[in-house]
This record gives sequence, C-alpha cells and structure tokens, in this order.
Amino acid sequence: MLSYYDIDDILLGEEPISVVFQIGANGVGLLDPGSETNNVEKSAKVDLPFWLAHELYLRQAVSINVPSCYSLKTRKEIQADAACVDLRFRSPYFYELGCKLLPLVADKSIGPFLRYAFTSRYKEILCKSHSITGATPKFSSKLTKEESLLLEAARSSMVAFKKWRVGGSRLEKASILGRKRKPPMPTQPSGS
Amino acid sequence: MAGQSNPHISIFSAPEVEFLAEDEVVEIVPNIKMDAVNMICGDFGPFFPQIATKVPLWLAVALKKRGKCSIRPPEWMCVERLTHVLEAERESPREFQPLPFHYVEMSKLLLDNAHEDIPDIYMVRSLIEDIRDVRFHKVETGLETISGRTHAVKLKNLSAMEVNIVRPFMVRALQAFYKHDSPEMIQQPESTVNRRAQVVDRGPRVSPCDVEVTGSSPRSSLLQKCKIRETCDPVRLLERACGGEGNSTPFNVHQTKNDLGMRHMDQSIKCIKCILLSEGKLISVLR
Repeated sequence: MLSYYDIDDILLGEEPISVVFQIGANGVGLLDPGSETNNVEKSAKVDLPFWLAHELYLRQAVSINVPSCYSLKTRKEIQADAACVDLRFRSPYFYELGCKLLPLVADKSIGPFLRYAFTSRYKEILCKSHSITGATPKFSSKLTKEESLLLEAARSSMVAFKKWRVGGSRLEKASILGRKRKPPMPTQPSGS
Repeated sequence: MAGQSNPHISIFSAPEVEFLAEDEVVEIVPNIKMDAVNMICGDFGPFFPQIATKVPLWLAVALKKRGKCSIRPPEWMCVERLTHVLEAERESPREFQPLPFHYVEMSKLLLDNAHEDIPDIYMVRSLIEDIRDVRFHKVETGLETISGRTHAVKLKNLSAMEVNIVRPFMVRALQAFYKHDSPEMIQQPESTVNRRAQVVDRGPRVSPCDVEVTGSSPRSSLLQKCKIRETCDPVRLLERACGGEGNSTPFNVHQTKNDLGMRHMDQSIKCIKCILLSEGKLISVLR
C-alpha cells in the first residue's frame, strides 16, 4: 500500500525513535544534544528519526529500543478499553510504525499487539462511521492516521449518498462559469 | 473500470452509479407516434400511442419529461411486493431479499420523474426507505464479523448502491486486517514464546490452521476470475470449503481445519481476497 510518493510514508520517517549507539561516531555531535564534544560516544542513548535509525541499524551502528507507544503501560490501557486510548497522541502512525519496526526489534509481540489493538478499535469505528453526518465526533481526535482514514472513507461515502438522495441537478456548474469577469486593468503599460 | 471519477481507489460516485442504473429496461406507454430510434446501445421503438414498449430508463425519463409517455412501474415497485420484502428483510437477520440490482437508483429516478404513474407513491417511497435502512443495518452488523482471518466477503443480493456505500470502508478495513494478520506480522519464534504468553490472553488468537471464508455458493467462478498464481492444495481446500456449503447467508462464517500452516495458506489465498456481490459478480479484487 505504501509507496515511494506516499506522503504518510514520508512523514512516518520523521517519528523519533530511541536508539543506542553500538559504535562511537565522530563529527555527528548534533545528533546528541547532551554531547559536549562533536562526537557521539559508544552506548550513548539518542533519539533519531526513524529513517535515520533504520539506515544506521542496517549498518549495525545502533540498536533500536521499542518506542514507548508499544510499552507495557500502553498495552494494559489497550487491554482495558481500547477505544478510549488516545493513540494519535502516542503516535499518529502507530500501526505503520509498528509494522516497520517489527523486523528491527527483538520484541516480536508487537505484531499480535497491533492486531489486537486494531481489531478492538475497529468495532468502535465501525459503529460510528456510517451514522455520523455533521461535524467530526469527539472520539476521532484519538484515532491514528490509518483509523481516521477508515472513518473518513465511510463517512464521506455516506455523505455523498445522502447528498445524491436529496437530489439536485446532476449537471454541476463549472466553477469558472459563475465567476465575474475581471475588470480590465486600469492602465497597463503594454509594450505594443 | 472506465468512467470513474477516481480511478485510483475504484470508487464510483452516487451519480455514476445512477448513470449505470439508467440502462435498466422499463416499460412505457407512449402517447405519440414515432419511428424507431437507433442508438449505440440498440434500437428502440417504433412507438405507437397506447402500445406498451420497452426502453431503457434514461430514454423513458427523457420521454416522460417531455410528456410523451407514461411509465409503467416495474412489478416489484408495488405496495404488496414491497411490504412482503420488508417483512422478509426484518424476519431474516442474516439474509438479503432479492431485489433488482439497481433498485435504489431506479426507485429514485422513477419517484422523482414519474410520480403520477406510480400508485400509492407515498407508501412506496417510505417502504423503499425502510427496506434500505433495514438492509444497511444488516450490512453494518455483518461488518462487525470481519476479522484478521476474513479473506473474502460475500454479499448476496446486495444492490449496487448499497455496495457502493460500504465499499471504501470495507476495502480499507480488509486491507488493514490483512496487513495486521500477515505472517510477517504474526511471527511465532520459539525464543519469544514466554514473552508472547502475555499477549495471548489479550485477544482472540488465531489457531494457525483456521481458514475462514465468508459466504457460499458460486465459488468456482470466484476462483476462475481471480488470478490464482499457484494452484496448490490450499486453493483446492479453500474451494471445497466454500463450495461445500449450500446456504446463502451473507457474512456467514465457515471454518475449515486443514493440516497446512497458516503461512502457506495465506500465500495462496492472498490473491483471492475480494468483495463479491450478487450471484458471484466480482466487483472489486484486492491484490
């Protein structure tokens, strides 16, 4: 689904990931705000954007820590009442990031956890998605990107159907037709 | 499919579905004499006053607007039939009643344009509204049964507009479930077994050899139409699983045990994840 030009895929790369450097790195002190020299020392803990963390992991320069949004605390909250957890606050790309992180970390329980979270939150989205018509409801601010796209898909198709049913002309006026013609420029020094 | 406003996500807008519905044939009684009209889609007429003839809905509406004919409402569009359908819809919570594929669009066009030709128009209008509401509620309850193990959803007797409304949601939901249930996501290496134990009680776990298919009958057509890259045992198993059942309940979940791992199975049925509707018509194939 994700592709090179997918804006969500690009934004997902910006998510900060906590990593531990396995080797010392010279000249990249700007990555570590706590560093006094221009170097990052071995076993320093640094937050890097996901795209950089991924590349460095492939070169075995860093090891990746599981982000806090997949921590035991979040899992307990999801278990208690999945629909009430504000996942967007934790990470708007909760599912996508989890899928990408899974091969990079040792904790393979993220996969089943993501599925459980999605399955239990899906019910909540479903029962509200086709019935809302007006403003976006309160709970939609808690949804991650993937979930809100799902909600929006249902909502917009229902709105489109209701609009069609109410009727109106099938031929729509082109936006350009209603516009008034611009008054001619007062004094345009033309190069005639 | 050609003519969609948004070809990327294979979505029709409601007016586009209405456009497709206008090809349905209805009976009209002209009040003019006119030669046959030759159209790309066929020849219609000749027209003689008071002699009923069959034309596509768009032509009927065009003639009606000019006062050249009266439209005979289709036989399903009467109070008795619709009352019967509504009762049947309410009685069977897991089954859709057979109605014309474009009944929503046809009824709207006819009720808007030919209101004096339809007897008991208020009753008919409200009955159709009720039927649509009841059916949509059924669709919603059916969607609740979608889970990570759902690979196909069969919606027998669902109409074009109803499918069109749920399509964006359902396609997205199926894709998301498929992604989260893929074998890459659900690994079960031995090293993490103890750690996984805490997750196990969290959700309904899939036993690795459950295959779940929804729906029933003309499954062979599905299998032919979908590109099956590898014809191996899982597909045949799946075919047997789906073809064996004769009932027609939509969203019915049949489970089959087989002795192949989920991973193997998953790869072969990856390509036949699709949304079906009435009589096995293949509307949208994912992957």
